[in-house]
Amino acid sequence: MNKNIKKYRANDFWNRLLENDLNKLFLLGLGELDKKSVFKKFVEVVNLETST
Amino acid sequence: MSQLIMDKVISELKEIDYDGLISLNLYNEPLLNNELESQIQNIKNQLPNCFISFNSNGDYLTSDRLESLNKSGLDEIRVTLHSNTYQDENRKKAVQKFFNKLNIEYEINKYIPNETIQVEKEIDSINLIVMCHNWSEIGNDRAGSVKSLTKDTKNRNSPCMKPFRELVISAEGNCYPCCNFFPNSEISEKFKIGNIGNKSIYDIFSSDVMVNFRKKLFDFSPKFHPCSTCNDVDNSSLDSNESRKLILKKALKDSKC
Repeated sequence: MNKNIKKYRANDFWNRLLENDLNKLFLLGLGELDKKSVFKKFVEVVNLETST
Repeated sequence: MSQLIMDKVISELKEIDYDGLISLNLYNEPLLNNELESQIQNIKNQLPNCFISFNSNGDYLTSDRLESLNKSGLDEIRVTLHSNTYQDENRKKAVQKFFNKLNIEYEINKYIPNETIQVEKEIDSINLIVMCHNWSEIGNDRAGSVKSLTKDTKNRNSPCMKPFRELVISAEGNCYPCCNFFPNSEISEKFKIGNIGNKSIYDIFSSDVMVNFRKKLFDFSPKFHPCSTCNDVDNSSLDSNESRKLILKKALKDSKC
């Protein structure tokens, strides 16, 4: 995996976000498919506290 | 984190072939976890395109542990060192001590006086980032929990990408708007979004609480508590504010339809 891709993504997040149709990120009542596609499209970091 | 919660999260991420970053920490020390390598292997098996990283204070990182983490499929370790005092020379000594312990040669890649010291180095397949910053200058007040780092004069206007880009899950399965909330603290309890045990990650990310956070953190307007004193770096440009306002206006209009 090219690790540089991940660094680039963090620095450039707003530019890529603003190029998208953002309405789904702000609206409530999305269907299951929309929820998954929105998550897939925008979420780039999942913090998992694996231990205490 | 229980195996049940972890399996549920990974299973849900598998549904969309998640290929982003998974950071295996919040305020825990991952290297104290004896199951860490097997957990990494499991995640990589289920989500082969994801990027696995964790933050550590480095105390328990040894050459042997580095080797076993390399074999597990880990992509990155971010070590945050804390010196006795934050003077530059002391912070440089802390970095030197850390690399001497691992018997690894290094050079400082990023140095900003009185602020930043950072080394980045590839060790086999792991990207090792070691930083010893002046936390009294650039430390985060963690949603208002660390009063000594709250700057009186600070009133944040800049947007924040975190609730757009991140999902934060504590060891108990509780979700928070961003990684600056200490799980189970008095302040954080008020902002808890939900628990993985009874909701999907997709429901939580699309919940009204998260949507409201995104609305409030999208443009260059004064921020509310506890975000008002947050100094988390954001790469947004003030030039984008007009388009941000238009997007927000459209969202608010559509949500009333």
